[in-house]
Amino acid sequence: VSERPIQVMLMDDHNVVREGLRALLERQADIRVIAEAGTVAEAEAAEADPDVIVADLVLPDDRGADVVRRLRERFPRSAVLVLTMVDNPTDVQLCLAAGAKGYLLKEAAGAELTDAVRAVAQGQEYLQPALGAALARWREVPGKARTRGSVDLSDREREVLRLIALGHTNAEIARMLFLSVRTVENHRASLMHKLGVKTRADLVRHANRSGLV
Amino acid sequence: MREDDPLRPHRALLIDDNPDDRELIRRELIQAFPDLEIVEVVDEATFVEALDGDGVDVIVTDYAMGWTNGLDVFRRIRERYPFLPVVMFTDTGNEEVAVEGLKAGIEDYVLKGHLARLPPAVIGAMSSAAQRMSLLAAEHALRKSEEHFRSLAENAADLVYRYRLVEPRGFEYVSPSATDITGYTPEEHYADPDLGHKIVHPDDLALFDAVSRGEGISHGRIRWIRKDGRSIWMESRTSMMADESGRPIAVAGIARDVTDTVIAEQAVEAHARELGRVAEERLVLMRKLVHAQEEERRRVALEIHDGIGQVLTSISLFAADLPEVVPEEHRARAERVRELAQRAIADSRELVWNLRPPDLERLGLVPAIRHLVENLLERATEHIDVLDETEGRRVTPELETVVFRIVQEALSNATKYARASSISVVVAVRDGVLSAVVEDDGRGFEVEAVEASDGVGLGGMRERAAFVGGNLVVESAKDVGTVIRLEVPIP
Repeated sequence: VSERPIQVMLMDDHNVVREGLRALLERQADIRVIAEAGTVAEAEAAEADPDVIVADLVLPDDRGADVVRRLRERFPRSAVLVLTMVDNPTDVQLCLAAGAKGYLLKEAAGAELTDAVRAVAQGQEYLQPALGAALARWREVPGKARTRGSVDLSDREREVLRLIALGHTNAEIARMLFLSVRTVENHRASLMHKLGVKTRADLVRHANRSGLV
Repeated sequence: MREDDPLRPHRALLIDDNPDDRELIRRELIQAFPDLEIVEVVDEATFVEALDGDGVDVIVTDYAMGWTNGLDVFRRIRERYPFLPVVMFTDTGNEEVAVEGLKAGIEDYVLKGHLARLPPAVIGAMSSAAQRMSLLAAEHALRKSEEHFRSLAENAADLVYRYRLVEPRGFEYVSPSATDITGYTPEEHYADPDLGHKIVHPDDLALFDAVSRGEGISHGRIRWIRKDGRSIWMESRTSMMADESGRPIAVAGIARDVTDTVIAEQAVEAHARELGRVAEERLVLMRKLVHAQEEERRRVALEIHDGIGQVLTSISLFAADLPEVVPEEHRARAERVRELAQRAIADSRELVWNLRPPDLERLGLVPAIRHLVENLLERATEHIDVLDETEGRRVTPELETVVFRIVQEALSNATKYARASSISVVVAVRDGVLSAVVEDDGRGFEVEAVEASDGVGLGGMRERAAFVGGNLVVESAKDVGTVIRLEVPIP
């Protein structure tokens, strides 16, 4: 516990939320709410130097990662802790990229907010565990797919793979290559087995990487 | 002479009652035609007998005979055998008789003093008789064919005509059906060479002229104005008749009243247009409806988000440290209040999102789909993979909403019914087409049966696809899986 209480600014356009936040935080001996804002512009205009800004992402005058960016610009020293109902992994990713130190959903506020404020005030990052998992799931790393290094595909398999990557269905591929649907299904099963993948998305990734489309 | 020459006589009747003359002539003929069989007629009895016999090619007869004369013989023969050639010989100086015979139609005559001319005369006679016969046969055939044509024309319901293009121009033939069809009789047509022109609808004159002159067009549909002023549609076919130099001299045509057909066709076209218009209107209305629905959802979502959601958040914040500050006996209840408040926030957040994914507009299709999958994964056990091939390409909000809703529906079906182990979504923009493919490896279904009953909303998906000019392909195979592909052309 530091000697000086953590200076917190609240930014949320809903008074009822700010009221709850203030009530909760003020009851903490080591936290003090020094400013409140209902819009990004109000926050920017505030004569304050908060350690932590608890910020909603959907404000009347801005939304999303831009809110974080503006706060970081105006308050470079402050740790921005996003407290929002927006739970899209992309938003989480963009906000963190824009310099947010923490990201918390409003439903977790009751249980985790004070911990989160303390964590970001100490320079740590705070991400609600469920969001962390979602974030990891959607991080497209080039070459990430589970496909095996070098795989020998027959010409026919390569052609089937190319057509799958172009979005065709088995029946369509069968018509294009004058094959039976069953044969195309077999080629496809063989492709998945050889490449060690489970989904069409994986097949398309592989086709892209090997320059088939 | 060649053996097979048709003009070589095989059998001749030689009619003469003078044995010396007969001998002379016989000798002359045999010399020219060694194989010739000569039947001699010397009186009425042998004449009648010979006439009933057959195979005679030519008659050679004297003029002056005791029992008859050559002209009578000729008449009696001609009457029975119109194409049997007759050559008559006469004494020198009896040329008046010869002229009379030629007038009557004998083929040739020879003077007794010039019997050497007899063989060529026989051949000439046979030749001219043969010509006469073929000419007559041709005339007969022509007459038959004309009769045939005329009877067709006379009885045809179609209007049949022939028009002379050279002076004096005019109708050469107009079938009686003209009266029924045009109100003008054939006689009125014959009387007025320009009638054909006068009864054609002014707008169709150019086409009529083109068809009438056979200018590359041999048929066409032309409006005519009947004598009673009523307008009719005629389908006209023409055939040009030219002289030896290729100059058109007449045009033969047949025209059929197709007014009923045209009216029926126009009615069908009008109906088709009307159907198209109604379908278009319906599409517009459905689009408006869907748009209104989305708007309404957005409004409700906003209200829940800004109202209940924030109040619940506040409750949750107020209850945050309640369990720690209330007396021990109330702690469990306080704990419960906090939990329920949290759950209510999560529920309202999901409700808001399902009503109208806010990230769809803000972040685009793929982030919204990922979010959707994230929500599904809270309960679903399948592996769900999303591949983004759009390279960040954004399209109109309406289109994004349609694609999103279809993917949402497809994923909902897949997680509810397919019993798949893996599901994948591939969203791509390629060659001006936005496509979204949702595929699972589940148990599949009978597409046709499902389309018919539409338990899983395929119809609704197709309809939404149609709003944005898109196409939906649904393919499913038992125990292989299901693939649903939406394709929408984008500018």
